[in-house]
Amino acid sequence: MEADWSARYFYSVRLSPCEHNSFHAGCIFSWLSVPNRTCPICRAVIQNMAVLSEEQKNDQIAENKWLDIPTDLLEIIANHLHILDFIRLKSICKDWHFVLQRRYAPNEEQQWPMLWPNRETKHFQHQQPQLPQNNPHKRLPRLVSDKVLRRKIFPNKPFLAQLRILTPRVGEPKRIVDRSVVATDIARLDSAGDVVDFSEDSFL
Amino acid sequence: MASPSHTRTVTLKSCDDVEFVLDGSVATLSQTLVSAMAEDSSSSDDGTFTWCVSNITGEVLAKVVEFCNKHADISSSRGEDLKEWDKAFISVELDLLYDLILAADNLNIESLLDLTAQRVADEIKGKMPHEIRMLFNIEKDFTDEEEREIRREHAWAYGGESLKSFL
Repeated sequence: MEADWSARYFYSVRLSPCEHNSFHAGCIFSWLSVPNRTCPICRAVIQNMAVLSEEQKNDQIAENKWLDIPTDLLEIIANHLHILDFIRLKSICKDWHFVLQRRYAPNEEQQWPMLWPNRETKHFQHQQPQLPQNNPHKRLPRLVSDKVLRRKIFPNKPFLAQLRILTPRVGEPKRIVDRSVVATDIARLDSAGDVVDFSEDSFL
Repeated sequence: MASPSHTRTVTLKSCDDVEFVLDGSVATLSQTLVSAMAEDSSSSDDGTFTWCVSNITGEVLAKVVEFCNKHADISSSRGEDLKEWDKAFISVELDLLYDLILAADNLNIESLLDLTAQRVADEIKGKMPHEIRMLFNIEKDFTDEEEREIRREHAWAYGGESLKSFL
């Protein structure tokens, strides 16, 4: 949760098909690094919308100049990609991997950090704890849709001051199934700025 | 002093000596030209300004000028029509696309840079790494070991059938 760390490494990624975006890059990449491929907000399964047409499969062979594309242009292109394509683009060659690994946002777009519950400290932390590789499923924190933890980061303000934990209002039924309703609810709660205490059952 | 940019005529000269004459208002789409014109104090009497682009060929520059003319013409450039026009405009081969991106960057034309970058992104969309390499004619310079390590973190992004086991 260090401010200097959080303020820099941003990349604008869009999820598909739900188009939710503005996640903090470090968070969304660790969220997706375990075999978990759902949108943290609406739980839509991340997938590639593009279906390759026959025409596209007839690969055009370009001259080799693409390898030498200036890095700032590669980053601009990467900003137009959905996350799955972005991940794949990182594994094309060493140069591109280096450029895209060193991700940052060219603009100061506001990003959503995600908070992960930490069982030991009983606090939420900004960076996901290291998960055991052998069976990640069991230890994956479930940020269910009624406990989405996020807050926009404003680059010029202290990071810690900007974190809010959002939950539905007391007595409001859980509505996990209807994704559109959940997404709207979150937006509304966010504007209301509800802040709640961390509770024991947040730590699964 | 230089006259205001929109009243002047701009001559763009490519690296192979092809010249294009643009309206001042069209040239303002390019931030590079705007700042060049602002700094320029010569040739102000006849209201013309000549700018040589050393690394853009006539063929590419013709496309750029076509784009600027269309986008500066406010009467015809509205909403869906313009989108359709852009789509047709950018349906070019990858080689030309690459030159267009560089030209858009060089002349600092934001809308063209956006359009070209989106086109490349569309090209990448849905392809596996080996297909992307083939598309751009890039050789894999990872060892198998390195590639495995890179892929491990987001293994599901590369799977075909194996994705199902994660669902």
